Amino acid sequence: MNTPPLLIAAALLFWGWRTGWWAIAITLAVIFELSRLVKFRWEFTDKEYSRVFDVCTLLFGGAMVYLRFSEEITKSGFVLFQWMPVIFALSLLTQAYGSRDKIPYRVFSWFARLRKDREEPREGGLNISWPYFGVCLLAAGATTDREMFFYPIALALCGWAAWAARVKRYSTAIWAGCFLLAAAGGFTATIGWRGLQAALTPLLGQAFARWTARDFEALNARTSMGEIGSKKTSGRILLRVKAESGQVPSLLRQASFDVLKGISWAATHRDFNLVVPENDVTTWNILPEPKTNNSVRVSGYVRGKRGLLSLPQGSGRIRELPVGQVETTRLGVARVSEAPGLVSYLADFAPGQTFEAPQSSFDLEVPESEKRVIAEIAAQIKSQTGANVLSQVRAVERYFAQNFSYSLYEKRNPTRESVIAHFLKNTRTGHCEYFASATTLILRQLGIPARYAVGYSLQETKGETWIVRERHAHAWVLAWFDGQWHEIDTTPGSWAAAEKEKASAFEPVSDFFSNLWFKFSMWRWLGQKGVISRVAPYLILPLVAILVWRIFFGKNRVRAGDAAMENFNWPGLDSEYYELEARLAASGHERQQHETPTQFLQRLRRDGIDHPSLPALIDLHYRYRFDPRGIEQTDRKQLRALAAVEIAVAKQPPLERSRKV
Amino acid sequence: MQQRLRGWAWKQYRRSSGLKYWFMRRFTKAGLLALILTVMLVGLGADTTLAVAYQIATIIGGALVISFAWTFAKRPLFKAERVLPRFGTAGSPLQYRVRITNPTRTAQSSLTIMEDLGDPRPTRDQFLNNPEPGEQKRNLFDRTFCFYRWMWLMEQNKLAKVAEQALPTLAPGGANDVTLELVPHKRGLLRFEGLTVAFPDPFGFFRSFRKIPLKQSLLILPKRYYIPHLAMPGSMQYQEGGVALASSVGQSEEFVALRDYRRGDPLRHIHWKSVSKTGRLIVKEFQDEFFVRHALILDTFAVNPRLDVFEEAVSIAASFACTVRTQESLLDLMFVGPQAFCFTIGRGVGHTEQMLEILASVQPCTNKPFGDLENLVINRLDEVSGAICVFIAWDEQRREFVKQIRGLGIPILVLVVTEPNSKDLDAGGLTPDVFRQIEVGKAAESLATL
Repeated sequence: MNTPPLLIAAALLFWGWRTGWWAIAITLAVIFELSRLVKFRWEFTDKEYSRVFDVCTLLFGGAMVYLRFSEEITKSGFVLFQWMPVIFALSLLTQAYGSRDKIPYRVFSWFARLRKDREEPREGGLNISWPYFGVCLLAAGATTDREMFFYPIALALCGWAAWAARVKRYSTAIWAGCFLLAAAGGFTATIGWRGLQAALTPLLGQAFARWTARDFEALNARTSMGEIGSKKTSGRILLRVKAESGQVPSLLRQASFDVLKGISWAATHRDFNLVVPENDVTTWNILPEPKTNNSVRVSGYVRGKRGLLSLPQGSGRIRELPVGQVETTRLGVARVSEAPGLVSYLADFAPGQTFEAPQSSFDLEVPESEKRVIAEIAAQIKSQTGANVLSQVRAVERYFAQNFSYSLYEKRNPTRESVIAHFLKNTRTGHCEYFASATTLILRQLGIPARYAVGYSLQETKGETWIVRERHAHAWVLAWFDGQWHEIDTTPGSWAAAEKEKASAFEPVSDFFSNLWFKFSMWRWLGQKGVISRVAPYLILPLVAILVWRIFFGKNRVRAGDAAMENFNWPGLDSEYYELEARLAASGHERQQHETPTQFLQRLRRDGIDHPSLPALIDLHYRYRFDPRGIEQTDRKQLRALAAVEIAVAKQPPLERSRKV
Repeated sequence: MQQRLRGWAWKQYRRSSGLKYWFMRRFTKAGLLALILTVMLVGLGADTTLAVAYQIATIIGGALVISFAWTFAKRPLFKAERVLPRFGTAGSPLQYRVRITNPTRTAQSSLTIMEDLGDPRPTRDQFLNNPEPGEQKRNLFDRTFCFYRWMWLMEQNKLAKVAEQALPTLAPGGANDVTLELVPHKRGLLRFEGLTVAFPDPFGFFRSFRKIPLKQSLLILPKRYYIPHLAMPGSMQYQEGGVALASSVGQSEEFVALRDYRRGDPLRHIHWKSVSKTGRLIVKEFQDEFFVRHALILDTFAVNPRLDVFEEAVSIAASFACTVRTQESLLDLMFVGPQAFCFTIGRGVGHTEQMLEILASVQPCTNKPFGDLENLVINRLDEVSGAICVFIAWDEQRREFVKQIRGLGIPILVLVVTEPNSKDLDAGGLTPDVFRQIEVGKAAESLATL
């Protein structure tokens, strides 16, 4: 069954209204609906139908690739759906202007095309106007704005389509009742759906945040303290850093934490605050009036469209960051979402400024389990330095530099003491997490607010670029004195050399491919592809034009239903007897294929249905239909009159009819 | 381990196949489109802040829910009568009539009728013990999980296909005929379980069913090929008992006359009733008659039967049964099934249809030796003018058997059915006009050149 007139046009206009592509929608709608008025048709072969569908599939694939590489990064999936009515329009028009009502099934499957042994009957196939109607709905639904008229118009379109395809078995009242019920249920479900999402978003948000933040987690950091054996380090390049102006920072921070629970650090301030972008949409002022003495470019991959930014201490502004959203916490974490696969941003920073909150009571807490050992060491340091904060900080640095060493290997802790106490009292060797955790607690014991920070250390250069590898991940301390946060790193300087010893011999090879991939990613995500983006769609146009020319104009047109016999005007085909037969069939008395009208009449009599004037009518019909001389005008009139009487009887309900007869 | 994995795979195939069958029968094309569209719209509009597709999803989803709920509505039970032909032939579509009576007081329209031909899904034992032809050439994964075996067995178990047919409007208390077309895939006895009438919902998305139990069966005869006029060599042979006994040699008690025993008469011809009455040895005398009698020998023995090879052999035998001019000669069909079997037609004895009926039911023999067929044939060779052998293998035993027949001076035509693309067989000294190798799928061409 074909779609009713104007349904596809209406669906296309609905899509045009939602996407704003009115011109395309109106053009397609007019071309499609014209096919109902135009009488000529093209006689396409299966191969040509297949070719057209292949082109549509190629356009779909091409659109997918194009959207991946274009600027429409965050919503490429939705845009692809919005384009679908254009992409598949050629298939629809081929069906509309082809001589067949349906496109053979094998056109849609490569496997079926290969199976030549199975012949498909000519009348079989898929009428793609219905799926195309669905595609228009999908495309219109892939838009964002909630408009008041969207639901009623969508409902009207669905109702129109459902009415056209309804089952005639049921009365209009039953159908309308069912449809109204479906519409009411749908409307309730729409409201429920929105409500459910509003209720679930805050709950799921945290869970999703945990999955998606792949770097250091923004709110919790489980350390590897206490894990026995050698630490595994990777030489994979994570970041490339280049100084644009001023000095290069030695550390890039991703997160900081203020509460130690066992061997994990956590953040007490867990709320993220949105940063409003500047007019160019790529500049984000984290501080209201940032100082921009120094500027550094940081380039790194973002997975899953979300991630944490690596920023130097004192960052106040981020530039050239084309992401959907930037959020910060009071502990100095900057998180981005709806980001491309690679970001390369400029971080402007200056000493003395900071976007994290000042000290709080949490920054002075020392867990009970660690208090005894920490207090002992703090007392020892205090006795040497007095009350001066700066000299206390320097003394702590000296304490670790003189008495501790760096090690990536860890032995089993045979004592019942905590891992930090065991490190401070017994082993006096460990990796950066031990040093940062212990320093934070000692400073807090001395009365200096301190936080545990994680990020990367800049150690390796290649030309003017600093390379940050996975093994350069580092932990250090933020200490609050002189009214600002200072970075204190007590890990012995030998750690860089120790980590480098672990580097793989194949690192240069992997670096080579890493650089190639980085350059490709830079081009893919941030490069100047404007020319390709603009030219690509126009490259497709000539290809489609060639195809259209080859298919539509490379062959002779035929008139719709052009078989010579179909057009032959058989005498008597306008006999009213046929209308009567259709009426009788609708009431359950159908003439069988093997029955002549006379035999049919006899059967009707046997079934108790007697039409007294039917024999005379059939006689006239036979003469009108088959007599080479035709019938007189008066006979023709009588045939009409008799048929009119019989049709009137056949229209009546069965009981009334039997009474009358 | 492999068998356990196959058992597990069988369960999964059975379930998924059942699910697919349910979906494809219950949902109309419009319903499937609506379902797919709803799933896509739900995916697209899952986050209501990103797309409004969820609003359309709820409309179409709502209609689907109502369609599904409609299946619980009451459905009338119709009466049906099926008028089947006597036979069908594998591969040839046949049409038959079904008369549906509407016992209700309302007209019934927009209904569809379907035939229930039984569940074609293979049983666990069938799945585990019947490898698909050429399975050993498949990769380890396919050999372990046997997906192609499952597909092949499904095809094997489908004896026929009947397309569903729209019912004309049924008047209150009235009846209407509908013609169904059946395409038999294989020979054998096709069992009809019943008819199913499908009722659509107001949207035409989903169908509910009402079954009409109506058990019947139809014999599907083997597929047959054209064979040009066959001039079988061989002289007329003395036929003991004439045409009347031609089909029951050695077993019938009918006779032409009685006479005294003469030396050399076979003991089985002694008429013991007369002996007891007269006290003399009396034998049955048969009218002397000479005419041509051919043997059609069908090989049913195979260690690992390739079903397609065997089916082709049966089709070839059936083609000969139809072609040999039985007005002038007799034709004996000989094969071994549950027992050694010989059936004769020709010169007014038996009919070709009867032989085809037998061939429609013949099955491969796996529990008897080839020697049984040898014994059956050799015992009857003295009456036979020529023999047509349809073999499904060509080994030493069969070569010896052919040699033995030829040694008795009986002309023979040997046809060996082999798998497609198999190597040429060694004819063992037989000339091409006596020995033919026929590949599965090329029987029509090969037989046309006889």
